[in-house]
Amino acid sequence: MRSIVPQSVWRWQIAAYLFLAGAGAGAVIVSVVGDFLGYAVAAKIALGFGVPAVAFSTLFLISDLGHPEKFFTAVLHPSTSWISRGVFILSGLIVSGGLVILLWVWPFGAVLDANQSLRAALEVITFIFAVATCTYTGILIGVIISRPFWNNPLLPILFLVSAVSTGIGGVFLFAPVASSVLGIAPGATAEFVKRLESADLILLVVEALAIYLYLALVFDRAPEAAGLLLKGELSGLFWGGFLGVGLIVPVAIELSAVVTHQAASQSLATLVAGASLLIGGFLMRLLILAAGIRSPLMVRTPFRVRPGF
Amino acid sequence: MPRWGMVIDLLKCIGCYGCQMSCKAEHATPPGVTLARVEVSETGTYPNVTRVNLPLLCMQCNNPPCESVCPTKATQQRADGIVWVDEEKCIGCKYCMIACPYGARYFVEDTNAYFGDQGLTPYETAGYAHHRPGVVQKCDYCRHRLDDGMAKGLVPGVDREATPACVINCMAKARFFGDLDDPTSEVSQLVARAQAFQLNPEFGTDPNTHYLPAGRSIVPVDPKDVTDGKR
Repeated sequence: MRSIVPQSVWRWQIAAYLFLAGAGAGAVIVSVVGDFLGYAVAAKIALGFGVPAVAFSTLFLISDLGHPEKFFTAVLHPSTSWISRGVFILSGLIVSGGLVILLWVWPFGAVLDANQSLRAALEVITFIFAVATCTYTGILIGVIISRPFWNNPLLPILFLVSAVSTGIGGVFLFAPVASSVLGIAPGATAEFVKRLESADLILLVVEALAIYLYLALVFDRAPEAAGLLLKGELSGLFWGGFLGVGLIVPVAIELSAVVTHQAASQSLATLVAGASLLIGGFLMRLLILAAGIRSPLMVRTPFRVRPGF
Repeated sequence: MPRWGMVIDLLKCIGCYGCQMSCKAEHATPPGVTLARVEVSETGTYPNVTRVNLPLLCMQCNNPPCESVCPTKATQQRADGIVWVDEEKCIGCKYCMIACPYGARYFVEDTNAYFGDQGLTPYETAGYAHHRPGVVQKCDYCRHRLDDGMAKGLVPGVDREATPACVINCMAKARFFGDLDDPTSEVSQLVARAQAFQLNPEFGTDPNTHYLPAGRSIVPVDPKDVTDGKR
């Protein structure tokens, strides 16, 4: 009997895109929500990480093409193709997010400060594109009915929760760098990072719950894929990599930070939590992609073999 | 306008891979690309076991999922039902390979030689001129044979020259080809049999490639069973 092999059409390049675009768009969501809650400086740091990350992620998509030089023709079929729709969504996020960043920079900075309604409108548009970027990828692969592991309404939700969580992980890593480069006092972001830690704790619990529900849903519909993930070729990366490094490590760090009320923003622990969140986010996408194997082809055989023959 | 279809009789198929090899010969496909292929599996529990030979090719679906996901409209469906790839438009995103339930699509990264360091054989050199690297390829029912043959007034499914290579090369005569819109054609009469089936109809793809099951008694087609060519 042949062993079941993982899906190999879309490999790590697509996983890297899904991860980086998700983390970037997640950071944009964090930024808009943070700005709304009054953390203006920290929101700029999150946006400064998020938009470039999304822009960079598209390079993985383009490099995976057989003809990267013609990538722009991928917009031609938005009526049915989620790749075409995705190009519009990504372009929308990069343009609107880039516009917000541009308007911070001298001499345009005064424009947004003077015009709060323009600022709010731009941020809302960017927020919508960011949510769309996180979720459309779940639809992109979720609409493929012959790959039952993906064909699941929870997938876009799972991608969204994980995107915001990995976006927070990116902010954990990026905030100290941005603070030192831009000369922002570390204390200005400490309060924001602390709030992010408790928010991410909730997100990770939701994510773990979503993963559990997801697996419960696909267990009957895609037994081969579930077996591949839980006890087959992918099981080591799933249990050790995604669940261990990507989920348990950050939950432990964030839980201890919340319980002990320590100012964790400067601590090494926050950096470790950020790194493990990013590793977990990448592994989740890599594993979901790899587990998306085709349904077996069913040959209708009213076949009768004589007993003992 | 005809609607081309194929019927593969699994009772007659002996798993000789003749279709796979004739397809490679017809299209000079690079290593790893088998536009027509045979998947062999075993089923049942001892002692009631059997071997299933499943010849596969593009099912030429009436509702092709590969066509709707294509972002550049490189994958198209002709009026006669044949689904094909415009290699000039394909950017090699491979979404169609993700979407095809039958694994009928192949990404040709580059046209490698079969014999490694010895370079391309004259046959490969001639054949590979038709393959553009970096695009997705698929079976198109040998549309060049159909079109060229019909231009000469030949009938696909009847005249060898106008019939897909895998069909005329099947030594067990397990493959049939013809117009599914013509109720008197051989394929229409075979499809009209109650036992004929499509692979995984639950995907809603409505393939124009049909199968006859391996386990059945051999009954000649009775014209009385044929009503309007549809089941």
